[in-house]
Amino acid sequence: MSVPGIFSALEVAGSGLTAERGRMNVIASNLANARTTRTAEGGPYKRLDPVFEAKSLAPNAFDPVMRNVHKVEIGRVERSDEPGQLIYDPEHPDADEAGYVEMPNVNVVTEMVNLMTASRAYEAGVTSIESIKSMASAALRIGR
Amino acid sequence: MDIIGTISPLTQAMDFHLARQNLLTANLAHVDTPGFRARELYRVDGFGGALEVAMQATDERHIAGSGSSAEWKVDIDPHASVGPNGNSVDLDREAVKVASNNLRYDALSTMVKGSLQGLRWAAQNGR
Repeated sequence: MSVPGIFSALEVAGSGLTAERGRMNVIASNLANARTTRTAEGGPYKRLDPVFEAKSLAPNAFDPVMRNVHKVEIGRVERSDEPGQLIYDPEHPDADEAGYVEMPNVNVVTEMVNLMTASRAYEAGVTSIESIKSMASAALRIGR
Repeated sequence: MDIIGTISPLTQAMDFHLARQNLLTANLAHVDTPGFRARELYRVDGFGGALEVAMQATDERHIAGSGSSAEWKVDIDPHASVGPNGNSVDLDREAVKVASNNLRYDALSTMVKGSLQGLRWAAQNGR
């Protein structure tokens, strides 16, 4: 694929959908573990944050447009090391000597806002796929 | 003014809009990528496109259009404002661009289809 066409556009839009779905998975994990105080690494659950990266579809293409068309993918998932809220609960099995339990540093409201932006971005990707499809059928109608 | 000559600027314009659709789709996909700058496709001076057809001289006393081939270049969109994470993609703005680009492409393909129908009509002796 060295010139921009229907399928390169579809591939880029598809990579956007995959990335946004991946982000939704991470957000779902954060929300599900909003009160998890015990993990395999020890200590409370720490919130995860996916970082998107641009990856050129054809870095060596002669066509300048193709060199500038980038797929999106989740480059890495960062773990936030911010301390979580301390709650006084001496009966809790994970409480320290002073009776405090460290909760995960997940803010449910923030996660919900992120979930909504991911959902909007996903819808935008679907819309652009619809648009590309309608362009392809317009081009196919020429021959009829 | 011949029909074949009319079609070629139209197909160049279709190529332009398909290439632009690729860039706009990539912009939309990168709405959450930190540091990503929205890109835009610009026509370089001398680009004829669909307008060239309307401007073609059909009489020797007319002033002809510039009559050149399609040339375009990719650039960072200077009108897009950069957000806190260095990303300059505006979801609504890009969605409007995608929709209008799609519409232009459809219009061009309809024009090409019309030209070819004219050619077919002539080839069949007006039947």
